[in-house]
Amino acid sequence: MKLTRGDFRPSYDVVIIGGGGHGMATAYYLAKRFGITNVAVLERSYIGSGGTGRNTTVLRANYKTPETIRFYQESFQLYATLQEELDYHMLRSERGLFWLAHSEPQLRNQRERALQNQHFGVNTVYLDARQVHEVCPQIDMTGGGKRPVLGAAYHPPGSIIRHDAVVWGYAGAAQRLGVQVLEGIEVTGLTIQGGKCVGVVTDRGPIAAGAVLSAVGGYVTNIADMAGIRLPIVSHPLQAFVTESYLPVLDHIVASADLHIYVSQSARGEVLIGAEIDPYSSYSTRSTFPFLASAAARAIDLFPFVAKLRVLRQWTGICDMTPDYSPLIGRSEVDRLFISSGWGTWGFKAIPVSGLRMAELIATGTVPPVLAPFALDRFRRDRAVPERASAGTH
Amino acid sequence: MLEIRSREVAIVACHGGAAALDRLASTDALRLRIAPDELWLVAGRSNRQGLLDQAERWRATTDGNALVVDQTDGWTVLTVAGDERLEVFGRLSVAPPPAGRPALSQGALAGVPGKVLFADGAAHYFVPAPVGHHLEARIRDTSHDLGLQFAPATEYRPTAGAVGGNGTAVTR
Amino acid sequence: MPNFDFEGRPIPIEAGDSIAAALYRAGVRVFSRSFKYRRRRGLYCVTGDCPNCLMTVDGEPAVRTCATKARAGQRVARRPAWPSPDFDLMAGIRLFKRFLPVGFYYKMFHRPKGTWDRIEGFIRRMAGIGPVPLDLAPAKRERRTHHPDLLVVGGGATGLAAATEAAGAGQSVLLVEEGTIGDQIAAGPVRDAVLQLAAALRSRPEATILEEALAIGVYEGPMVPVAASDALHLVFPKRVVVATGAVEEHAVFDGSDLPGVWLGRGAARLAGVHRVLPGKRLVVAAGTPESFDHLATLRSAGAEIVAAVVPAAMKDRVPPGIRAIVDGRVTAATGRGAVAEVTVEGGGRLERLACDGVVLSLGLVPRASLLRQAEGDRVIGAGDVTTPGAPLAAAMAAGRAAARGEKTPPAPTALPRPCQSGFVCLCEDVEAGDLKQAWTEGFQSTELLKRYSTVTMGPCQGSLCHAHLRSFVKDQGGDELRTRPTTARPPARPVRLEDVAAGARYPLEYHTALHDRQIAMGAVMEWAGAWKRADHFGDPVAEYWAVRRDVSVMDVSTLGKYRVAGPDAVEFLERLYPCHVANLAPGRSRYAVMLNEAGYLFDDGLICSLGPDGFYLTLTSGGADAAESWLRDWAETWNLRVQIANQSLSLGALNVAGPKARDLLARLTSDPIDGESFPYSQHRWITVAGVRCLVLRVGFTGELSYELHHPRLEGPKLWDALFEAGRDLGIRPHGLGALRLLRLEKGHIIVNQDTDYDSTPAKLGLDWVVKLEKPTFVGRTALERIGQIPREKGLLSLTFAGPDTPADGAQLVGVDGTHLGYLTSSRFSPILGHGVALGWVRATGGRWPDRVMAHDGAGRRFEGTVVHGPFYDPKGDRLRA
Repeated sequence: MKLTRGDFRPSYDVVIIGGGGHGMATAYYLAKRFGITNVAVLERSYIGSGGTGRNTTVLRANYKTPETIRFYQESFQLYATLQEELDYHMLRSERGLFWLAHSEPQLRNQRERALQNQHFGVNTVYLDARQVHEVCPQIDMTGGGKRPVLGAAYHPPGSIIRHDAVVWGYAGAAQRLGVQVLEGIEVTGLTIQGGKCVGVVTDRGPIAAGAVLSAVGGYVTNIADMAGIRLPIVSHPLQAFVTESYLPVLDHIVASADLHIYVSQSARGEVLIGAEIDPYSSYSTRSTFPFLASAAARAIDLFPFVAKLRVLRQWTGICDMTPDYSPLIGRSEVDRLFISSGWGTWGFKAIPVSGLRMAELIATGTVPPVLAPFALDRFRRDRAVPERASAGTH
Repeated sequence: MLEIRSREVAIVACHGGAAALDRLASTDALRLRIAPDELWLVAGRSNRQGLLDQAERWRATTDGNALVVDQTDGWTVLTVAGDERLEVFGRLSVAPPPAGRPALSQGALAGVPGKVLFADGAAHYFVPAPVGHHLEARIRDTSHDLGLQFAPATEYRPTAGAVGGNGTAVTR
Repeated sequence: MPNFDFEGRPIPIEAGDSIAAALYRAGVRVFSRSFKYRRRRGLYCVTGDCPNCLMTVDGEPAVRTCATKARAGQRVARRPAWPSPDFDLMAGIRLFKRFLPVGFYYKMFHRPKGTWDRIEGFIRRMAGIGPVPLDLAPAKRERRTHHPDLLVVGGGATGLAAATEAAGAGQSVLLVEEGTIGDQIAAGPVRDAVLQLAAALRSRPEATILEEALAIGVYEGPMVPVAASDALHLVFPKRVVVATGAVEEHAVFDGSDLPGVWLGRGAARLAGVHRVLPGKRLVVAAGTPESFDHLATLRSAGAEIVAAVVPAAMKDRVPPGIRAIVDGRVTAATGRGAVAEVTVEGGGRLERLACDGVVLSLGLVPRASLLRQAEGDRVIGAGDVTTPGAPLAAAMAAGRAAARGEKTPPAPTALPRPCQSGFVCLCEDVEAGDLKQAWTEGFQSTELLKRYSTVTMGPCQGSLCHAHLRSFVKDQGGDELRTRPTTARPPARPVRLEDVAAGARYPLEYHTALHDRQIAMGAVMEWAGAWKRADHFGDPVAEYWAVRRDVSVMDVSTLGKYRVAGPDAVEFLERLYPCHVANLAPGRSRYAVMLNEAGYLFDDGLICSLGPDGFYLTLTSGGADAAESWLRDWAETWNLRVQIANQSLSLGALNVAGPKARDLLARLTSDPIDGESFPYSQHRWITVAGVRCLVLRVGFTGELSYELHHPRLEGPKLWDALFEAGRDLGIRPHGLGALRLLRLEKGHIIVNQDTDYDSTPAKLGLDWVVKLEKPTFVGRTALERIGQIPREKGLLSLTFAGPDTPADGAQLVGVDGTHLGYLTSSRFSPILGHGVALGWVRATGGRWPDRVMAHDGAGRRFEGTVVHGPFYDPKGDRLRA
């Protein structure tokens, strides 16, 4: 990887704003699959410093609507061969993912999800309480004595992966193909002429572009403002924390639909715990104590053994939330300005498919069918893709 | 030594304009100014009808658009008396104990929305009735080391006066 | 003599011993094995800043033995290794170092396919600093809160002086100290000063001291949670003085991680406080003024000082009789498993010195994690944490100044000399060469290096290695951005989950006033949001039939209930709801839905007109809290003269349903309840069993029903009266289980079960609840626009032949095999003798199918027929009796 700080050219075929997973993946596929190598990725901090480097590393395809299932399934399959394609190991490990139900409405939701997934060829099964206990005996089935586990949707292909490695892998491969990745450069405006986006303005000067993609996560409304576009996005903080490394005892990824937390243990033995978004909207990445206390309490309810483990650090990312909990990806109202956003808590697992299909859209001008349902104007057309029940916390 | 007991009070909520509520006077009830547009008349349970009558009179004479609602059954009231009562408060709420007496603190109490009235030499906890049992359990859990004694329920007749609004301490 | 168990050996404890000191005295030299290379690690900092002394104590892993008091009966052990921690065979992995450069795992294991799957298991078994305690029950700790004027973190001279100053000024002060005050200072003037200050402070009523109390972090506020053994203390101070001191600069050179390499303070502590000699023949690198005190301590404890390596400016401080090496540097330590020789370079010469320990005091690095987490002027540092190395008097003066709110600009701390070789990060086994390798691979900033090499990401969170990381980047030519410190985040030191969760782990159940009554009748309770509600009472089938044939009572107290009054009440509700409100005569009720601005339904219930008293609204249980905000926000936005009172918790509600409901009520009231006086879809004030109730005639179950809204505490009285009076009518209670089936037979939706994010009334077959001719209501614009768009999906009613019926969630497929949707609710109807269901179905070419196939897994298929209107009693005769 040879990240540069200065020396950008005055113009590129495609300028991508945002050096996270989505931006980097799009750059790679533009070069690899469509032969467009005159591409620059502009990152104002260090690559992967946004959501890609802060998420809790879960890959899954167990969503609820046909459109979303297809989308994430394709992503999952791309992830399955990504390490070979980029020649970069990302420590991808299939662990099996539970969505536990502790109440009747959630039980129904998980059963629905299992049936829906199966219909579309995604491997998710419904397990009753006894079966959950057999597969993952570490779970306290009494839910800390308060909310017993009644059943779960179990998704055997659910995996974890090293999140930073995804962006490094794409960055390295893209650069080998001729893409320029520039760090420490901030976009301060967009150049729009006659309703067409012809470049960006940065804190180091203007850059002309044949097409511009905004692939910034939580800050997308800033970019949208620059183009005079309004997006139905509200940014919320999402927090997580990790423990020190211990001898691994938990093989699975366990999420609770009622407790709103999820727990996994990495190959290094660190236990990773996350929960729901903060209920207020903010761009702050400051971590809070009420979150830590509440998430720790719920994690102990589910896994009593974590009580004695030690918290090593907590961090916060920003989630760009959409009304229907599905992404906003495609053309914008401004010609040649493309947007990849609205990734909320469901962005990391979509990196390969969003990169590939966005590259296809930019290169060919045609919206790929798998991307079409997530168009920015879908709300106006009453074509929302409701995924709140399965977007959940991660 | 700490004493805790359940109390029987009457609560009549008056919803109206701020200026009109400022003029709601009472000689036998405690007036808790919950919000600029909401005031509670609080007295012993046996005075429930009396409070309703007072509220109605106020409505008829001062603010015909106001709404008077009997909220007595919606709240469980627990009184904690004794030297350590502020310590008990600190274990249930992160709010600073308010200065001045009487005083009202509103906010989360052991995870539920509640109000604490500091008056008549004790701390009186108002929590939604559906979680009254929860507050009692939490007081036991957090303060058993302070030597809690549970006493039988009695009526609470707060000293008449006003708390909140007009400069008296209300902390949230 | 008291003792504790160490891997089967009894270890004697002397007064004041930490576990580590007692172990060292007993001859233990290998305290742990490093994370990656399994290198031997011995005591090093002895101040809790490095990972070397972490052991499992009483089953709990990762305990800092240098900071934990030894107690009789403890069980202490190192992480298991084979054959033993003293001779760990896995250390042989070092031989493969060439194949394991930094980030090696990113470069291999993905080929051939499946390699990682096989290797990961092996690597996972090697991971971790200790076993997870599966048998220890979580401790139940609670929390306390404090609101002092001043919080002082750190019980050294600076902190104590600050606290004393503030207390003297009449401020309330809380001082927290991680260990025991004075415990870790060797006898001498500093210790005397500290103990004296502490004693004086303790006598002051304004001051509270908490020992064995760890400040976890500085959060916004500022708020500082402090973990102590008795409880979690949440401190909300007006101001904070951070006096957490400094840690000695980490020494990095070849072999610097061998047992026998000490930081100056650590060696002095062991000798001076615990009276245990770190070694008999020591080389001392004395680079700070205090290091000469350490040298004196070691000497008087009986160590032979082989040589003192000092900078020229300090050469006169070397005591006579000790060989001084001026302007030299320790560049290597060697030995088999422990230091036996060090190499000192200086003035172009290289010298090897035989010794059994090397003690290094190269500089002081502020322990500034808490300061860096804080923002604003209310958190100030003082003492070593801002001006490391200041003498005692100055440190105390700094403390006093900080207590007065005077901010001392931090002394510019020089970064350590860039290291050329050696272990930079002890926690993660990252060497200087690894950083160089990572740099050439393109990871050229502190943040990227951290993530790629994992330097600073171990238990010490960079206390020792962060400065070296920055020094390295700067040396490579990194600019300010690349060299900037990585973000400081809580916790300042690793803290147990049960400590942060203290006071946050409790069950929280909302109970109706009928909770105990229902349990006494055999209710099986289930979670419904935050409430506990009855699912059934032992025989859900009989309960269902009681509603259809006799009479049954259900506790529906959890419903949202609101009073709305005021001159603009009608206008308010007209704008809020899509239905007509103005034409609702007093005494009448109307089913109404709530739409958001996108025209999507999010709640439903009844609007009851109370005449001059305004309106009474009911809404679903699940939406109760959100509904109040919704009502209030709109009233304020529209600036209407309306008053809103939430009565959800002060009123209870009981639903009396069944063909004999009227007969039952007639026995308990003398008010008129015949069909003419009290028709369907109206409400009346009725006194039942002496309780004045607002009674609503509702139709959710499809039977004659009276919903009794009453003051909450009268609930049990009503319940008892109903069951007593209804004994010969076949009365039973019913719960959510029966209710879900009863309402389904009428095709009634349950919000969030049958509805989705984007459910408009039209999609739900509820067009009739929307009056688009109204000039305005929330969601109107959206509905008008959506009305022009061909509808793509709808919630349809379906019947299945039975007796087997598809499960909830069954996938719906058209006759041509296209996926159409799924069932949201599906049950077998006992009274109709076939299956009934609601499901989302996509239109094909703008047309709805007549038939669908339902697939519910395991190859089960059911043929469904689309029908219109309620399945049971379509004309509603039974409701309207």
